Amino acid sequence: MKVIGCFFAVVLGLSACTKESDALKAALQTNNSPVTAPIPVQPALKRGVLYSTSGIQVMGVVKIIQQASGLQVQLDSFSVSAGPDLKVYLSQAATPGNHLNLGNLQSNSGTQYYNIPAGTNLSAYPFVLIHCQQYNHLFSYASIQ
Amino acid sequence: MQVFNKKTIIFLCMIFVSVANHQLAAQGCSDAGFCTIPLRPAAASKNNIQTELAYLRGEENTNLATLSISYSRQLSKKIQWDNKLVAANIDGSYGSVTNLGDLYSTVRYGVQSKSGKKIYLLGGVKIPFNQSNLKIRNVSLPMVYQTSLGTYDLIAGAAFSAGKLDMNFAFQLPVVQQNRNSFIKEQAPLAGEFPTTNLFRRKADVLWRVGYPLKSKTGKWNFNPNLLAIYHLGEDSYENVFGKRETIKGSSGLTLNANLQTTYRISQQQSLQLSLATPFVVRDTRPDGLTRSFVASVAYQFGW
Repeated sequence: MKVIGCFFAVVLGLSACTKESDALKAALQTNNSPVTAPIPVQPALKRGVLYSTSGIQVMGVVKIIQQASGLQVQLDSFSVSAGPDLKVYLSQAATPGNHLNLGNLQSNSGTQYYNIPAGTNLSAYPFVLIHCQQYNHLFSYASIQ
Repeated sequence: MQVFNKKTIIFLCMIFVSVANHQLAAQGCSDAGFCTIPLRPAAASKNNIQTELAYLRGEENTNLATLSISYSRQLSKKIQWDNKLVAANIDGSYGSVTNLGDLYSTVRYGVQSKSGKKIYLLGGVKIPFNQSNLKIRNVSLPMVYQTSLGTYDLIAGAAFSAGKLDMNFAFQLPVVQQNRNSFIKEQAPLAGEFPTTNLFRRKADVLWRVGYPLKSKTGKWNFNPNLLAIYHLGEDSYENVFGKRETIKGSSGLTLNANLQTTYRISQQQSLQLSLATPFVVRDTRPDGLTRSFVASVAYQFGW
């Protein structure tokens, strides 16, 4: 019955109905659990301030920190305007093109962490970008030094 | 069309069950969708409405249910206009997604050959209702969870009879690719065999269906066992984490399906159709998520 109800809601509302599975819920809880979260006072290897592009509101600081598991990008005191498909990139320039996609932005606000793949030459990526991939629109950039 | 008897039905059912039991992995209909577009007029009425409910078994234990509604109108003696709207529910390890999929709009033109045979020519478009980037709790989902491929396609086809066989050919070409899928296997929260399909780009398909239609003595039952071959004309591609495009090896090639369609004519205006299909030759890799190990559908048609 729920599926049939969802069909009608979709057809009438032209919007998607979604529901996470228990397995996904558990996986997301594990990824965000305090046990695996890094220590917030980790010294930054590099840092930069986030700037917004036209029409976007953003604030916060980007840090590159060393964890036992490897390097991470930390977004600190962070908030950004909502977007449908925001990604976090390490980038060779202040615009996307030659970049390394670190994944979906976890949240529009709050401190958050993104793993940098092992073997990444960090000096080749002097920028961190917040980019809407779906509509190819840059939301924010930071030069990290 | 041939008149069938019970032995013929039993024989064809045995073939179908045998094929179903020997299926390999899973890739059914290309279901960029055109394999479900009728190339021949389904009914003699000027206006027809059809609703269809289908169950599809996908890869990695995903289950798909689709609901479609079609409207067709005979514009003249030779021309018919068909429209089909599809919504889908996909349920699997990530959860469930329900959304509109695609709209198909096609025009069919019936011509008489010099030998008196009727040939149907078809042309049309597929219009997506989303960009193939539906998510659950901000988690990017593999293509099998997407209700549309996110492409605007051109469709062309032809149908004619060759002796006792019913022949159908079609071609589906993605012309505007607005697929914005963002699933990256290495970043996925759940383990699985779904390939990376970030900013997926899809190649064209050609379809060939050959059927052997039969009908009962009363004309109430029609029975159409058929073979459906779909050839994917090139290797699909995606954008890797470095923003560089990579082709997906093994994504081109042949899919061969066995399909059994049974139609019961309730009256001049109404009919019911049951369709069962399963693949027995599949592509090496099926990144587009069009993986079906089994498809069953029931459709009701009303004309006036």
